[in-house]
Amino acid sequence: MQPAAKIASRSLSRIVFTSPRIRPCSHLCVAKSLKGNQPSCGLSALISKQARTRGSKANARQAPSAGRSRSRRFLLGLFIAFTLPACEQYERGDFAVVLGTEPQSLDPALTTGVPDGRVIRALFEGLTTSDPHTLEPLPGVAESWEISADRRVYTFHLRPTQWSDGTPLTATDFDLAWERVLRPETGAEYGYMLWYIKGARAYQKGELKDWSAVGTEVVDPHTFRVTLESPTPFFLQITSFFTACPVPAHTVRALGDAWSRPESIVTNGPFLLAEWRHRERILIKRSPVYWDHAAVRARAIELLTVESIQTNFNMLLTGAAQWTDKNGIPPAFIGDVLRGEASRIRPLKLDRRPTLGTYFIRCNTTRPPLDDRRVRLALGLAIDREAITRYVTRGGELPTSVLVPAGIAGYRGPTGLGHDPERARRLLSEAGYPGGKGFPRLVYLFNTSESHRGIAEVLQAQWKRELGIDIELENQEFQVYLDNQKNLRYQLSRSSWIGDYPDPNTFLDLWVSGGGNNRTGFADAHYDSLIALAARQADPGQRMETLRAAEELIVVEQMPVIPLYHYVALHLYDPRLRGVHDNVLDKMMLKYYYLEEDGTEMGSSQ
Amino acid sequence: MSAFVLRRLLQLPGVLLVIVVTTFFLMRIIPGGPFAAEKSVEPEIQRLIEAKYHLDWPLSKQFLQYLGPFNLAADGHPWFGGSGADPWGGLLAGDLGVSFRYRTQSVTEIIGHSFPVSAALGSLALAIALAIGVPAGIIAAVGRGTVRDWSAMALAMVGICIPNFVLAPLLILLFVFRLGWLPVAGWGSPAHMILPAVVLGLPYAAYLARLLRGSMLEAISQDYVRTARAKGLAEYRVVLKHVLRNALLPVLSFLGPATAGILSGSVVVERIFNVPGMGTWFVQGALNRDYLLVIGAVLVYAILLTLLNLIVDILYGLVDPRIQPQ
Repeated sequence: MQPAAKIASRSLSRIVFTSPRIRPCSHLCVAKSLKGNQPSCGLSALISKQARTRGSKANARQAPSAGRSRSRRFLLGLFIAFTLPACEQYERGDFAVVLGTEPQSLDPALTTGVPDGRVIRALFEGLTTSDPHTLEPLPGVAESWEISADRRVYTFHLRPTQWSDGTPLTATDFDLAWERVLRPETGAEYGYMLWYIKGARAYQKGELKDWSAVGTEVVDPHTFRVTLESPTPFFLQITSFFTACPVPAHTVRALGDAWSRPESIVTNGPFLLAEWRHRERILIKRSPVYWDHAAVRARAIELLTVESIQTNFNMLLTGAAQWTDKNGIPPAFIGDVLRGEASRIRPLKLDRRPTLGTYFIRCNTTRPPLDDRRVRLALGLAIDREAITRYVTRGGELPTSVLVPAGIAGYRGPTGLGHDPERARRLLSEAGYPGGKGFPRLVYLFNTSESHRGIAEVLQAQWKRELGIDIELENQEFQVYLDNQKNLRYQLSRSSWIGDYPDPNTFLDLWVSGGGNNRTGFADAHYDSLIALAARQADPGQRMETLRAAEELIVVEQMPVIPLYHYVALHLYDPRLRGVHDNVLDKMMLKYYYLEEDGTEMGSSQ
Repeated sequence: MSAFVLRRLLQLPGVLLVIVVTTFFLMRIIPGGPFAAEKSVEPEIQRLIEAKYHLDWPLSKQFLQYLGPFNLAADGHPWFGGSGADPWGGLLAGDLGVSFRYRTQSVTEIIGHSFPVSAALGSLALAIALAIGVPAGIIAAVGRGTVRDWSAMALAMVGICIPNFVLAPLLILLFVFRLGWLPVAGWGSPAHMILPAVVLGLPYAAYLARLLRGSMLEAISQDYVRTARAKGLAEYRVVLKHVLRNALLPVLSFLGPATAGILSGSVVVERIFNVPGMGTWFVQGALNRDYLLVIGAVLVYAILLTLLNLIVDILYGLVDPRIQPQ
């Protein structure tokens, strides 16, 4: 409960957290240009100029009486008081990265967003981390680990490290962090990431009250043992996920949820939080106490929170930012960027890489005509996905008729059905709608966005052309769309899924009967048993075969979802920037980022 | 006069209550919820999160909890069966609640750091609007039917017709990409304020100019202006003292609500120039179903609007002594 008066009194001075190192503006901020970043210049000049113009305007009217000059001074004072918050000297980083939208929180337990994860991975480190290229688990706070023969017990050996306030980091910090994520009252939306641990699911649901019955054990301050429900081959990926990061037990106990507020946050990762100006930027600085700080070459990085794609792009083109992903490449310019046109304004490098993300259509399998698999297959077979990626999305997306993207080690998925209008027509007439005759009214639902609309229109035209059926398009605001999708109040619905970890399971366990992310009404006992079997199988090869059979059931036999394409990650950045991540999860690892100072590439690309 | 001000201030709580009630229930009618996300959460967990923020209570009880001053939760006021650990809360206790999306920030804090930004930008925009609009209106009215009038009014028409999401990219193209004088977006230095303030202020300047021209033309044909001229006053004194002063009333009544709007942030300008003001929080709050944040932002706007209208009413009396506030 925060009394308004307390805040109000602070509101004119800057309320945003400011690190003590940053000097508030002295009204004489010297114009300062940083490696081509935005210049910052003096407010005083502006204000005095403003005062002069206002003054002269009044002078022209008539000789000012004492009362008038007083009221003018009052107005000017009010004006300065209002504009003052804009004048503060900003501490600059080595370079600036477009983060995306404003993070919800920096508390690993409370947040789910992609931008949030990027900051948390820079500020915290889990038991393991990931190789920025291969995603291979690397030692993090745990310098080594042993896995039991049945692959269900992991024993992590923690290296002697400390929190940013100097307190030693121990296994208790992990135990408390995970307990906190799973504590029902926390309401951690990503709690399911830890459900592979024995008893964790029951604990978060409140069915199990005793934390000691959950499969985590603090053997000694530097040994942490975890027992899993079943062999989980990707568990070392989970331990690198931001939800599994440790939290400082000493400050969490003292401050509760307020521990992660900028003024009190204590971290253990490669960087420290220096400043967080909401909806503006976050400044992180290299941590002197991080165990691997020698590997961190950036001194300070600015993370910009920007809502508008076009603004992101402009900032990159003017050198106000040095890195962006797709959030900074407006769809209208994607062709220009791919052709390298953007580099005519400023040298920029473009990376394009497939990621673990799939764009697909959900079918509501509980209502006719989509309860008939032949109709669903017909819809899927009639789509020419090439046309969508080539003419609508245009970012190099990979057309697909399977769910699991390529690039997962050890997994070879089924071949999808592809584009076969002839067979589509045959299936549709078998289902009782020859040439689309008598086909009921069908509505395709998507959340309001230009690109979703473009795709919807192509689908509409293709289904009309190949199958002779009419589809209506309906766009809804995101939350309304989501609500309708969750409650199966739709027929066809645009959807997508981004993998959480590099394993086919992240795309396949969605479709088990009654699963929260299923949202198609699809229920198949054989499919459920395949997913359950895969979870028990300790042999990686057999497990992948089981998952392959499961995927085949979805994309070849039943098609409750119609895959369209796999996402690609686009990175557009300053060619001097080094250490840019390039993995299939598009997991940003700021630890490795730095700006090459010699500037040779800037010269050579002229 | 003071009785008038007092009466108007006493009406304020009633107005605000109506606004709070309307916003509260309107927000809750919209489908979706603050904790709905693409990746689904187990129903049990969803229920727990909602229970944490009392979203599982009946709507009327939620409203009373929001209104305060009693905390109705388990640790709340003993009158309502609470333990008494935290008896007070809600709007009447000065607490605007928490943001559901930005879970470690309170609504008061969000407004506390975003409103000053919007107000700073808005003040500059308003100054620009007045500095351009008022002289343009005077010039046009004085030189009615001349080239000056035509050009000023043509420019004003353009200013009104070009929406800010068109004007902003045009100015960016010119001042950032062609001339390189100003930063493209961001906040933190006066240079960052110029483009957004101009974009925000120009339509107001255009509107002001047209408004002022119209009311000045009306005043110029009045008898007292002829008298002033007849007694040999210099033309600029006639215009400024007799015409302008009498022409100010419509401008004032426009400026009241316009100032409230300009100070409380514009989502379009804030997005294009990445200004961390209140407009973006407000709109994102509505999109995220961040109920309490939306009510908080609406309240700020309502208070601003009411107070500025009050100020306008007082100024009426000062500008034109014939008007006595009732």
